[in-house]
This record gives sequence, C-alpha cells and structure tokens, in this order.
Amino acid sequence: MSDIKHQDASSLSKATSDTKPTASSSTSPESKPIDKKEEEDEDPESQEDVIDMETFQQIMDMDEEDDADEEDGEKHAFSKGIVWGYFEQAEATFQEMEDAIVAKDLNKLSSLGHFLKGSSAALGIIKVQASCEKMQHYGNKRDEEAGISLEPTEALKRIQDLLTACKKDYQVAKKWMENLYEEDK
Amino acid sequence: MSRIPSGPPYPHQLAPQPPSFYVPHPGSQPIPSGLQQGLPPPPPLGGGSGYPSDPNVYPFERHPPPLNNGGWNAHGPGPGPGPPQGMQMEYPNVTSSSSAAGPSNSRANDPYQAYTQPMRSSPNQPVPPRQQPIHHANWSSVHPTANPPPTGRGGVKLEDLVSASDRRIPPLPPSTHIQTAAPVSNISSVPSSDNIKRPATGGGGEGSKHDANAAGGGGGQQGPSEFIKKLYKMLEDESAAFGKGKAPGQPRGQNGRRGSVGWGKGGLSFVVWDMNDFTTKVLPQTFRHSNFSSFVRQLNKYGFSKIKHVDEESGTIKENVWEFQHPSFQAGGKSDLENIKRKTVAPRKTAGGDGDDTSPKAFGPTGEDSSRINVMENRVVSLEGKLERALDEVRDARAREAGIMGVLKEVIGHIAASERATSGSPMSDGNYSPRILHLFKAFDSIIPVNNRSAPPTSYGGPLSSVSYSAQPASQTSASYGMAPSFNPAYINGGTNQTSPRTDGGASRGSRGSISGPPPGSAGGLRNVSGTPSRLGSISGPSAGPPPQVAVQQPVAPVQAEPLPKKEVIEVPEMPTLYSGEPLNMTPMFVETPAWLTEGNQATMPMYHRKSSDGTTLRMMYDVLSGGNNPNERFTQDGQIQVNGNENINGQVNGLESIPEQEPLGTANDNNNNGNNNVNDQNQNQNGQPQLTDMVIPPPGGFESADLSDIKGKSAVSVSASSSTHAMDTVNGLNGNSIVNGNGNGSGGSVITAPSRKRSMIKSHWSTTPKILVVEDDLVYRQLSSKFLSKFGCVTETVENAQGAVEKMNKDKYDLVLMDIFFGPNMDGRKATSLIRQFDNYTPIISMTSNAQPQDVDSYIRSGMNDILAKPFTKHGLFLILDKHLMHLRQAQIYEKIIPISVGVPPLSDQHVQEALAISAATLQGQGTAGLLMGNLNGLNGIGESSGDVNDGTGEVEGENEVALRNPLAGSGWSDETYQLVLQQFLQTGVMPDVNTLANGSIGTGIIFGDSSGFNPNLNRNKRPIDAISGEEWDGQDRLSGAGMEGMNDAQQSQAGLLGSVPILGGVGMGMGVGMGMVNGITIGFLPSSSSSTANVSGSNADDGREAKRQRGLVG
Repeated sequence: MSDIKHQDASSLSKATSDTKPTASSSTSPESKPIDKKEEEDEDPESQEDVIDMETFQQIMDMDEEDDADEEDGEKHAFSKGIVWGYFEQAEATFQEMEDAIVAKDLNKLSSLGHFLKGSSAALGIIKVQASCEKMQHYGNKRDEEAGISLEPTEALKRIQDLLTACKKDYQVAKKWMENLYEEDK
Repeated sequence: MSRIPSGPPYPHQLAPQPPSFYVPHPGSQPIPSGLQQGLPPPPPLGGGSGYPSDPNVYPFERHPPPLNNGGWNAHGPGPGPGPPQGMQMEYPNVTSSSSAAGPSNSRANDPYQAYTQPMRSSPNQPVPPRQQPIHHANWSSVHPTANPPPTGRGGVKLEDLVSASDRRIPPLPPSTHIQTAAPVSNISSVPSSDNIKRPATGGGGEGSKHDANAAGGGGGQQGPSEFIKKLYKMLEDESAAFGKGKAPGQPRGQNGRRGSVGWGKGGLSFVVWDMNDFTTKVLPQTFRHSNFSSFVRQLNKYGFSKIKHVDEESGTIKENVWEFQHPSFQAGGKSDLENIKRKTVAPRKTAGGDGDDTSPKAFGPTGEDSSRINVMENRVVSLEGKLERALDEVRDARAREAGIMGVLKEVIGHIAASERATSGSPMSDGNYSPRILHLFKAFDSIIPVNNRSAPPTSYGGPLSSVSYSAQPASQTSASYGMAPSFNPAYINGGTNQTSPRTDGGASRGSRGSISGPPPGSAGGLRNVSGTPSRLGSISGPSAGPPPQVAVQQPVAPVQAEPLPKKEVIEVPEMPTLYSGEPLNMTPMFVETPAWLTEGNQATMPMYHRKSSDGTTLRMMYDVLSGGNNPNERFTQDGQIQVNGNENINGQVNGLESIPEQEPLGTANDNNNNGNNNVNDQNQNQNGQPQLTDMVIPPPGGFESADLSDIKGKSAVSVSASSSTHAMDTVNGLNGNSIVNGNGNGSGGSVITAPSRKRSMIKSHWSTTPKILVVEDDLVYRQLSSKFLSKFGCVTETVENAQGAVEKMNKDKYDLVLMDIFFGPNMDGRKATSLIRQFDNYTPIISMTSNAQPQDVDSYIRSGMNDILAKPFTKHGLFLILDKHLMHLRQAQIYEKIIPISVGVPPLSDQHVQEALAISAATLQGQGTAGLLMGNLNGLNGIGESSGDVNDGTGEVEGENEVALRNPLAGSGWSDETYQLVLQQFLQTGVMPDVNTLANGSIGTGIIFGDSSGFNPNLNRNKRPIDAISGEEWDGQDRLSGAGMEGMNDAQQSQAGLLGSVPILGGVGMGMGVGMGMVNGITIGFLPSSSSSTANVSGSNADDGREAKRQRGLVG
C-alpha cells in the first residue's frame, strides 16, 4: 500500500510539477477538490474572493504616498515591485513544493507553506494564504480543521491537492493583479 | 479670379479705406465699394476691434496686402520704407500668416505670391510686383482718405488683424517665420503667381480680395467669413509658431513637433493633432470659446468635411486626429477663403459676387451672434475662475476661523488647567504640559492661517523684538527670526519639511546615533545649532519659528499664570519648572530657528508618529488640524505675548488681518494675557535661558524639528499638521509644544499634503532609527522596508538568522524586526537568544504569522521584546516602532539631557519591561500614568512658579483670567459657562487627567501603556536629578505621554468623529492639562465647531467632556 500510495503521490507530484510551469491554474489530473481548477479567468467575484482588498489597498496606498512625494516616479512602482517580487517568490516556492512533494518532505512542505502563507497574507491574497496554512498543517501531519493527525501519505496527498488548488488561486490572483497594473498604466 | 475682377469685394479696404481707393486702382467698381462700406458692419462678427478697420474683418485678405505692402516697402520705395520692418512688427500675425504663405516673398517681393495664390484667380489684375509698391503709393496718394498710405493701411490691417484675430499669437518675427516656413512654399508658389498675382495683390490684388470679401461682405458674409478668417489666421499663426505650418506643401515633420493644430499635408487641409490642447489653448484664443464640437459644427456649416487623417510617417489612419478639408481652404490660398461660405447661405466656393450678396445677410448676424457667444463664454470662464478663487479664499478663511476658535478654546482650557494647577496639587502640573500641548496645537493651527497671510512677519517683528529682547540675544534673534519667518516658515515648512527633517534627523540623529548626541553634546550642539538655526530661521523661516516661540511662550506664561494665581506653593516649584519651561521656551525658540535650518528634523519625528498612527493619525490630524489652528492662534497670541502687549497688538493685528482675525481678537485677549505671561516667561527665559539653553537646546532642537515637520505635514493636510502637533507635544514638553505651534502654523500656511507624510515620518524621530529587518520573505522585506522608510527609518535587511546575528555583532541597531522561521538551521528565536548573549538592549520584535499564545511565549522567552503579527499593517508596524523606539528616543533624550543636566541612565530594557507590565495590567499603567501626570503636574507647577519668579506670574495670572474670560466670550461662552468649564477642569483636574491619560495609554495598547509608564519613570528620575532638566524631561515625557495618549485616543477614536474628539481629548491629556484641559479644549472647539475639524472636535466636545471623563474613568 505504502508503495502504491507513494507512487500515486509521486505521479501526482509529477502531474503537479508539470502543471507548474504554466503556473496558471492548470487542472492537474489530481487536483481534487477544489472548485474549478483551471479557470484562470475566473469571474471577478472569485477574484475578489482571492484578494483581500483591504490588505492590498494598504500597499497600494503606499504608492499613492509615493506619488505625492515623487511625482516623477512610476505610479505603482512600490506595490508593483512587491507584487512582482511575490510572483517570483511564489512561483519559486511552488517549485520547491513540487520538489518537496517528490521528496515527501513534509517538514519542508510545512515550512514552505508557512513561508508562502506569510507573503500571501501580506498582499492579501487570502486564498493562497489559506491554502498555504493548510499545507503548513498538513506538513505537520495535522488537520487542524478536523483536529486530527494525518498519516504521512495522506498528508502528502492532501498537500498535492492543495498545491494544485493553491496554484489555481494564485493564478487568479496574479491575473487580477496583472490586469490591475495594466489598467493603471 | 472672379473676385479680383469683381473688385468691389474690397470690403476690407473699403471699410478702412474708402472704397474709392480700390475702385480707382483695380478699377474695381464703385458699387463694390458701396458694398464694402456696407460690409463694415459684419466686422463685429470677427472681433469688435477689428471692425473699425476693415482689415480685421478681412484679416486674411488684408494680411496679404499688408504683407505685400511690407514686402513692397522693403523692396521698393513704395508706401513705407520703414514699413517693412514696421510692417513685420506690426503685422506679426499677418506676417506669420503670410509667412506661411510666402514670408520670404515679402523679402523678395514674393510675399504676395503666397497671397497671390489665391490671387491666381485674379491674374487679370496682374501688376508687376514692383508695381505693387507703386500701387500702394498710388493708393496712398490717390486716396488721401486712407491716410496712412498703403503701408498705413497695411499697418492698420495688420494691427487690426492681429488684434482681432491673432492677438493670441504675439508678433512673430515675420522674417524668421517667413524664412523658415514660408520660403520654400513661397518660392514654389511665387514663381507661378508672383508677377501676375502680385500686381493683383498690390492693387488689384487687394482689390480682388476685397472684392471677394466685399462680395461676401456685401452679401453679409464679409468676404471670407470671420470664422474662416480666424481659422485661417489661427492656422497660419500656429504654423508660424511651430514651424509646421510652413508653406503649403512642406511636411510638418521637419520640426518634429507640431502644435495642436496646423496645416495638413500640402496645405490642402488642416489638422487638429491634439484635440484637447487645441480646445483648451487654441480655440479660446482664436474663437473665444473652448467648445470643440461647436468648432466642428462651424466647420460643417462652412462646408468643411472631415477626412481621415493619414499619418505622414506611418501612413496609418489616426483616429484621434481631426483633419478637415475644404476645397477652397488651403494654406497660402487666402483668396479662396472668400469662397467658403456658410452652407445655409449656399456655400460658394468660388467667389461670386452674386452668391456673396445672398450669403452676406445670413452671415452678418450669425457672425455677430457667434462672436457675442464667444465673448459670453469667455466671460463665463473668467467668472468661473474668479468664483473658484473666491471659494478657495472662503475655505481658507473658514479654516482659519476654525483654527482660531480652536486656539481660543485651547487657551481657555490651558488657563483652566493653570488654574487647577495653581489651586490644585502638583497634579495640576500634569495639566500644564497638556496646556502647552494644546497651545502648541493651537499655535500650529493658527500659524497656518497666519502663514497664509503676511501677518507672521508682523508677529515676528513685534514678538521677536519684545520677547526676544528680554531673552538672550540668541533667543531674541531666534524669536525675531521666527516672527519674520512665520510666513517664511510656512513657506519653508513645505520645503524645509523634507530637508529639515533630515536635519532634524541629524540633530535627533543623535538619537539614531543614540550615543552620538549625548545630552551634553546634544545640548551644546542643539544650542549652537538651535541658535544658529534660529538666526537662520529669522531670516528665512522666521515665520515658522516665531510662532513656535510665541506658542511656547504663551504656554509657559499660561502655566505660569495659573500657578501664581492658584498657589504660592506651586511657585516654589515653579522656579524650577519655569526654568525648565523658559528653557524649553528658549529651546523652542532656538529650535524654531533651527526649524528653518534644523526645524525639519523636529518636524520629522512628529510626522513619523502621525504617519505611524495611520487612520488614527488621520483622526489625530483632523483634530490636530483643528487644534493646530488654535495653536497657531496661540502662537500668535504667544507672539503677541512675547512682544508684550504692544507686540501682541501688532501680532494680533497681523493675525487678525488673516482670516482668523476675529478669533485672534478673542484669543488676543487671552493671548494678551498669555502673551504677557509669555513675555514674563520670556523674561524668565531670558534669565533662565542660559540654563535652559543648556538643557533646552536639545528639546528645542527636537521641537523645532517637530515644527518643521509639522509644517511639512501641515502643508500636506491640516489634519496632518494637527497630528504633528500631537507628535510634537509627545516629543518634548516644551520643545514639543513649541514645535507643535510652529508646525501648526507652518502646516496651516502650507496646506500641502505631501509634505505632511514626509514630515510626519521624519518628525517622529529625533534621530533616524536604524532598523534591522531579518526576514527571508522578499515581500515582507520590501514591505517592511517601505513602511520603515515611510516612518523615517533607515533599514537594513538580512535574509537569515545567521546574517542577523552577524550584523548585530557588527553594528548597532535601534530595533530589530525578526522573522521566526528561517529555515532549517536557525530560527528567529535561536537567533534572538544568540543576540541576547551580547546585546541585551536592542529591542527585537518578532514578525511572525504564528502568534499563538504558546508561540508568543516562546518568542518572549527567547529574548524578544515584542511581537508583530503577520501580516502586519503599516499602522501596526508604526505602533511597534513607536512603542519601542519611543524608549530609544527617550533613552536618547535622557542621555542627552542627562549629560547636560544630570545623568539619567537610559532605561530601554526597563521601559520594555514596564511596557509589558503595563500591557499586562492596565491599572498599573494608569497608576503610572497618574504618577507621571502628577510628576508632570509638579513640573508644570515648578515651571509656573519659575514664571512667577520672572515677575510675569502675577501679571500672568491676571492676564490669564482675562484671557479666560475673553476666550469664552470669543467662543460665545458666557462668563458663567466659562467658569463652569474651569471648575469642571479643576474638579476633574488631576485625577481625571490621570485617568484619562492612563486610559488613553492603556486603551491604545501595550505600547502606549509602556510609553506612559516609561515617561512617568523618566519624569520621576529626571525630577530628582534636575529641576530644570527634570522639568524639561517631564515636559517631554508628558508630551510624549500626551502624544501617546493622543495616539491612543486617536486610535480609539478612529472609528469616527467621536474618535476625533477623543483624540483631542487625548491631546489635551497629553498636554498635561488633564481632563480639565481637554474639556476646555473641547469646549473651545465646540464654539469653533464651525470649521470642519473644529466642528468634529466641537461636536465631540459637547458630549466630549463627559465622554472623555467617562473614558478616562473607564480606562
């Protein structure tokens, strides 16, 4: 069983890894549960669910302040820099997660989940944040919602699914933000 | 052609000149002349002025002729030898227009050509170019009526044309335009038409044109309609101006840039490149309206058609470019213009006398209507502009009024507090500081207003002279500077804000350097810098500084007054306090001067706090803005006081002259009292100054910095300024208050929002905090760095715990923000524990999203001082910074102060512990706050007593009473009401104040509580050490406490208006005035509620007093 599961996990991880490149919400075969997997172009509503505008606005406000101070600067130089930095970091983290799944390194996954959770929260990308938090717990072999401990294989599987969903949410957020800055330009 | 022959169309000439001229020459028929005469009426359409002289009406035609004339003149003896140049000069427009057609022609006699082109039709009249001159001569000679021979005509025409149609375009050197643009075209066109055409133009030419015009005019169309002429002229002018117009064929690409409108390719059409620019800039000049659609409609009426504009370079069709075409409307083809007629009339492209006849009728009226409409539109625009200005003025005036009201109220509150202090125990002293704070705020607010108006100078002058004279020379100079600077300061406020902040940062930098600016050194430096800066401020920033000084002085006086009045006991304390206050005052002054130079720094810190507060800050700002105005007023008052009564009057006058005059008036009374006190204090200060200088300088520097910051902030927004004030108060008692005053003043004056932010951030710290961010998350690194930079901090980032430990080993940081999880090797806890092995001082704040209690516990156990939960907000970060750097700042201040006066050990660790303890037990915090307040009160009392010593106490008291009464009256309060308020203050006095203070601190949170706790401790410590230093410290502490409270209040009040009130209350509390003070302030605000901020506060105040008290109690 363990072997089989392991294989499943690895296959899953591969699938996820494959999907990664696109970074978009590609529906990996394994992406289980969560909503529409691949809708990168989710409707605005879902986007709003993905982004916590209150938090993100705080960063945007910093831009405005900059504008006030530096008229010649790019309008959203600061927030855009942060958002873009987040994209890079998130995608790199996703890749690490993929690798960690392959390596079945739950601790690593938990750490990565924690890491991405933090930056996602900073930008108000709440869905990714939530997924990462789950991943953090799963990495600790815990299901905090159910209050139960998980078997490593189960945790890994959940993480795989979680990662797929998380990427999708991430893509939605990314697209939304890209549109946002596109418009503002 | 037909036109020319028709000759009659000389309407242009006819109008200016008797048709007879034309008739003879061209042989044009007299009838036409008659028509022409009839034509004159149409001119109105073109431009009233133009009409008198036909040329205006027929600018186009005329222009050509004039050019011709000019050219002719140049060439030949003809009409006016001088004319050529004169012509050019006079006919710049014409020339420009003509230039497009064939400027060069004029020089080479070609000019006509351009015009001639149209003339082509008139070859019949061919006259040798040379002949043309003759013609002119002939004309002149022949037609004496046309007094100014051809040239004269030309001149007239040109002028008229210019005035009428081309006014907007200043005379372009015909030569240049012609040379540049026209030459080529001219050449091309010239050859064909020169000989033939010229003749026509010269004599017949004009005649022909005129004929055409006449035809049009006769018909009512005015030859080329006014619209067409204007349009043509506009295009020629544009082309001349931008060099694109050039001759009809020239590609505009030459110059690369083009105007908003110009001839299209080949001059066969004209293009509106930039509709917006054209509509806003060109249309109004030419058509006196800015309605593009109207313009297009007109074009349609004249048979223009819109064609797709093909970009010359790309060959693509551009959608946003409007290109209009009319067969008869071509560059250089002026004669064809006559053919362009309104459709309604039946547009005739060919100049047909008949057609003209018909059309004219319709034209005349429409033209007039349009011109009138244009005029009306212009008037509307101008009136709208005036209205906006008037509204702005009204707003300013209202803001000023509100500020004044607030100041008055504050004054009252201060007085009440002073009374409490006198009557009451040392606790009242605590009120004292609040009073100062309030005064400062008031000053600040007032100052802005003052700044707006010139009064500051007057203030500065009188104040400086009086108060300053009393004070040491440096102070005096400073004060002087301040007075003058007021205006400047305001101005500077904006500019200085940034730089000043930096400067302030430098001065405070001592803090940043922490050790660097030891009290002694700082004192020395501050004093030195302060005085110098003051001096500097005197010249430039004087405006800003003076207010501060004034404010400070007033405050001190007020306090002093109360004390004397109330009790002798206080007096004994007073001396020390006084010394402190005076010192503060002096420092303030010094600082204020410094503001100009150093002031920025001071302001910086203030702003920082504000900025950190974020929403609360906003609330605070609003309140403060309200308060600021009062402060400004106070400052004014204070200035007045400084000046002495006389000075006061002068200042008051100046102030009054400003929007807030009335408030000032009321305030003046109070102010006068206060002023007197101030003066006394000043004197005291003078006496003390030396001592105070020692200690004070630092505070002053800070304060000044604060003020500058405030200015900057104020510039940004009034609310900001207010917040800055609060900050100032927080920063240093005296210094802060002063700073606030300055800041408020500057802020008020400046009003610019942007500066606020910077100023706030900068103002918040005496020294630029150096922060180490240990964070592996890029997003948080960027975000925290950004926030920290906004807070005026210098930030270094490290990605891992090892790096953090190494950095901590190498450098000294004021604070460390440390993430917890860094990966496998080391986490934040371990790193902290390592750091704590060699650095037990630097605050380490854990940034983590794992803020579970057990986690927090582990963090604390690892040696971390606090926790900043992720995701953190700007506000949250600021609070943390403020909480922990306040200690640093205080510690720094202590260091500075201690060295100077007495050595007080920095208690950063203790502060942290205290903060924690306070957070744990609000009661304790309250208790500490109470203690602090008490201490402060005691200090205040001392200060007051010192004031008494100065001589001013007795007077001050009396004045205070008067002032109190007056303020009430000014605010509309009856004496009874005022007394009640005062009683309430007294009653609630100490305890309420303490409670409120404690509450505020507690309410805000651990940070606040900590700060308050620390402050008290500091105060306590300081007091023992040196009365003076202690006083100052207390003042500072109080201020800080007040600021903290204010912050807390602000935060609490953030929710809404109510919140704003609390803020005010908090400020008042911080001031040390205590509840009473707050109440008084609120009351004052109520009256002033008319202003926005004032209103809010006022409304709050209504419920406010009780609410505040309740809050305090609850807290």
